[in-house]
Amino acid sequence: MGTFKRSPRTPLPGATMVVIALIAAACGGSTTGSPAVSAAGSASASVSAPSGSPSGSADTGYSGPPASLEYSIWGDPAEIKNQQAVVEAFTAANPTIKVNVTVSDWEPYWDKLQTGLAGGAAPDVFAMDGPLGPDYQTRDVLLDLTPYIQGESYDLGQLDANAVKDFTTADGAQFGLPRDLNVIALYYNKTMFDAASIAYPDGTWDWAKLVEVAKQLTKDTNGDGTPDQWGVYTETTDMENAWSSFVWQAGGDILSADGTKSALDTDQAAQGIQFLQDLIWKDKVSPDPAIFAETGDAFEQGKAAMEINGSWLVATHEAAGLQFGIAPLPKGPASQATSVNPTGAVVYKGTKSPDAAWALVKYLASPVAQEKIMALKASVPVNKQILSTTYASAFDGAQVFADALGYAHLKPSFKGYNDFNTTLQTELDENVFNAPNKTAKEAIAAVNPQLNQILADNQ
Amino acid sequence: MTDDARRPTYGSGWIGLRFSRIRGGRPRGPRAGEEKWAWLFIGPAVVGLVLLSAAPIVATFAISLTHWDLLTAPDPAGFDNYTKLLNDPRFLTAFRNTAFYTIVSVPLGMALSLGLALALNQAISGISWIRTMYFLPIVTSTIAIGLVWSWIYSPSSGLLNQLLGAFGVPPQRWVADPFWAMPAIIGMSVWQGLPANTIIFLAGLQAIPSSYYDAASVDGAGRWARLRYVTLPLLTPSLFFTGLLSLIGSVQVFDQVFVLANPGKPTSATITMVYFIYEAGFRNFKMGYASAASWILFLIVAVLTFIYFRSQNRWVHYQ
Amino acid sequence: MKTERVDAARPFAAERYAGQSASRRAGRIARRVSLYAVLVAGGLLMMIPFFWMFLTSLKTRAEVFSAAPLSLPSGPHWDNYATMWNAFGDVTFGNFFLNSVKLASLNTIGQVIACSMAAYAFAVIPFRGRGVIFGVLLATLIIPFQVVLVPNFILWRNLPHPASESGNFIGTQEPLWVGAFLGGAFGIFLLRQFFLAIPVELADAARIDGANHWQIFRRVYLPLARPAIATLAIFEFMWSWNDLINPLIYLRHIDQYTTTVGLAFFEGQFVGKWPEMMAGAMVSLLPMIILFVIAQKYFVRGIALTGLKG
Repeated sequence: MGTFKRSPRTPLPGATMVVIALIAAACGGSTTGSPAVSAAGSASASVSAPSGSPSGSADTGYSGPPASLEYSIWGDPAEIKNQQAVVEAFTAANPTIKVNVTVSDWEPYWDKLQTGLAGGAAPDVFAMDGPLGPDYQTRDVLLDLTPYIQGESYDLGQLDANAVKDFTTADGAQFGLPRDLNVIALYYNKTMFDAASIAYPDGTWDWAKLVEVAKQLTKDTNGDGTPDQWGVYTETTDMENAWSSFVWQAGGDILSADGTKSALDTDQAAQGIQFLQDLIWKDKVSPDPAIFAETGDAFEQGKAAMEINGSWLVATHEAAGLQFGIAPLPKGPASQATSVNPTGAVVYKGTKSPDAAWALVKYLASPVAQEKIMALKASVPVNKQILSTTYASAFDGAQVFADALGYAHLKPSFKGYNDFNTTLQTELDENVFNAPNKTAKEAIAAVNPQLNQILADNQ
Repeated sequence: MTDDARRPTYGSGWIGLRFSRIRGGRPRGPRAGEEKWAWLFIGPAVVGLVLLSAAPIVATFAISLTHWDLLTAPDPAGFDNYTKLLNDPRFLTAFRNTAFYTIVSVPLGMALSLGLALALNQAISGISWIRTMYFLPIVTSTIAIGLVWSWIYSPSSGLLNQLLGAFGVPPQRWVADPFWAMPAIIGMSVWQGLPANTIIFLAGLQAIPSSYYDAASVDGAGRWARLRYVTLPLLTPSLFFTGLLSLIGSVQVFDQVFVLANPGKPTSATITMVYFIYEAGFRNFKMGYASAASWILFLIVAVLTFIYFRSQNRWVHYQ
Repeated sequence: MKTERVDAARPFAAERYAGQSASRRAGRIARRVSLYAVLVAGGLLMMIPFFWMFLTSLKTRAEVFSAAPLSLPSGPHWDNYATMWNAFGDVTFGNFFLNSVKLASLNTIGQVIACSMAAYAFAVIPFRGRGVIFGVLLATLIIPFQVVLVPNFILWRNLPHPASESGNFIGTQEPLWVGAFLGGAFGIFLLRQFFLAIPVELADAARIDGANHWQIFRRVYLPLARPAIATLAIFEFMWSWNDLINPLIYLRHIDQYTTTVGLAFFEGQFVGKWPEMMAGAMVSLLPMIILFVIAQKYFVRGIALTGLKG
């Protein structure tokens, strides 16, 4: 058995408080300011309507009352420091705004956020993952930033179009600004390629070429039946780290254009997923996911010659001391494609300082902040100016990421994303990637009705 | 003390939990003024616990009768969540997995812990250090334990496959294999839970007065007889306690699955009830659904606990 | 049959074996050696993850999985500890450590006091409603904490707190320890079992001498329950120390964070930073080990019971 789990010993002043809270939540509708629950009905600060335009230019000048913001992000210590540096620069430019950065790891971040939102004590500005945005936006907890954008004539065109789109509703309202993004590309180990005298991957590669070279680079050096060096490594547990790109490259899609039905039940989509299954189980150039499940990145450990994964890994691979290069993904039968997934900054609808919050959100997407964020090599900037000038030459291979934005598809983003993704990915993991029990087409057929049901429930 | 006096009798009580159990054979009711003392002693606990158990249970039940996504207002839904749950294949799978986990890991864990506690109950020099070695898994980070066990279970170069390979058994995929995934997790959990139960048994063993053993020796009892007639009966309160807590803990298994299951995401073979609840409430915006599942879980465990408590009279010896 | 004096400190002392035949002596020594061998070997097996933690904390990230898990690090990278300590900007890991110590200590003290008192009442004092209340108590154990997370949070949020930034208890450390002083089902249940196992004649004897319940509790039951109290202290300290979700949702400033929250940052969404994380974990487990060593003293055997006839 596991160690005993006990419930947290946080005492409740009375069952009545629970009931009151629930009633207040019901009556109050969406949270505004600090929901008044005490019997005395204390006045709460209501959300002030955004002023037409802050005085001054569309620059970072903030001239409102002194404000104190909580800015919440997920990340590791390096990212914490990085964001703190950005925030310090922001505070220097806007001395009347105080910002407190709170950080969590990915999984607890969402627990904490949702608990905070449910309890009416959420951060003023917080990070939002692209696919999950609609779940929050449709539940009316995010501040609509359109009035600010229109009021200041803020030019959304200065940011990458896909990234902006992820935070735009179907009606054209903007509920966040992208902060940075990530794309998927092909990493390759130069040492292994040199040792086998094979030319590095480039923009001419296609699926067949990938398989061919991967086979040459899959080696079983100690003769125990399992390769010690794999041709190509990728992660199978999330669509972003590879199979969505294959689906698009084969000409398929994940969601229909209007977002109401699954588009996976086509031959093209199945072909994309099948390609990944074949890499593992037919061509055997990619490892069985169970082998590296806990230990992680085979490429980082020097056990794979190539890796199809995200732009966030650059710093990690550098730290591992690898001689590596970055190339675009091999082209698929229908086209070139990759996945792009932005992270954005959104504002809590019940914030007490909406103007200050907007100033921070705007700042995060400005060239000054973008340069700082980019320096970590953990993500790609969204500001077009930075992308085309500083970023492309920031490190070897950055140009590949910048160019990829031209043919990238947005990671699907819709209400009910998590439910959809879990249902789909569980089936794929169990029957397609971890063990070749079914072909991609069969697995999709098995799970597609449920996927459509989830989408229908969430319209 | 006569045999009659030693045998515990018990009062009735419609939930079987009233413990006006008589010790020493003399019926006792509350003496004048004793109740005052009682409330003094349990005052803080009652404040915290009666309210702590009543309020979340009531709140959870209330929430289970709604559709609530945590962020907008709850939407009354009657028993809709409950009917949906009983038809949800993922819920039923989670239930089955949790039941299997509990049935196997609880007796196994208790038996091994008891053996370990007996072994560690020696009064030999250095026993404190030896005991600390066995207790280390409690303080070792769960992530470290998970990683070591996934190394043990690794299909390609894992320790377990190597050991079995020496006997000609072909390499198994363990956690990645739908059939072996849960047993593999049970293996790690039992190992991880050993120190906790062992500590409790050890404390129980320490509390047995040595005069009992001396008396038994004088009567000619050897080691096994002492174990059967002195140790085990006097240890039954501890056994009862750990049994119940192991049962409740197993039903709530959550972390172990995260740590071993394929990159943090349980598959059908490894999903458990509490993970299902957590996923529904905190990932899929279905808090009402999650609360309904919690209530079903709660009722099942409450029934089991009730049965367990009634069985107490048959085999637990209080003094 | 001779009863031997158990001289714990000298397992191989000559007196122990005086007067026995040589073969019997050899047999006893052999048994003792094999006992030690088995116990120590088992102990080493139990320590394997601990060894892994220690070795990993001294490796570089690349080394962690490229070589065998228990291989020695290339050059012990003690700088991982320094990196981990200073990774958080203005605060150090030491801040987290002190916060954890403070919270765990408060929780342990609170629980021991509240649970021992309540357990005494449940075990010894007959009163109306005892069974029902105890049943309700047990019910607390059954609810998974994920479920009560949100109701609890809502209520702490609605309690006014004069000294906090938000005006309520969110963003303070209080929700993390105040509850301990109101007891808990596990502790009450555990201690009740131990109190029930203490012969009631002792309480009777004390009562005949004129003691009231408080005196019986302090003079008779508490001393006899030392192993149980030590056990409860260990568990409570450990749970508080390892708690991640509660500090996470209630704390707002990085200087309030505990070690668990700090360590979680090294985990990462797709890749983990193992050496730093294990360095932090190693530092974190020191107080627990110290606690164990201290608590061992209370696992003493053979409480002398006067006046007890068999």
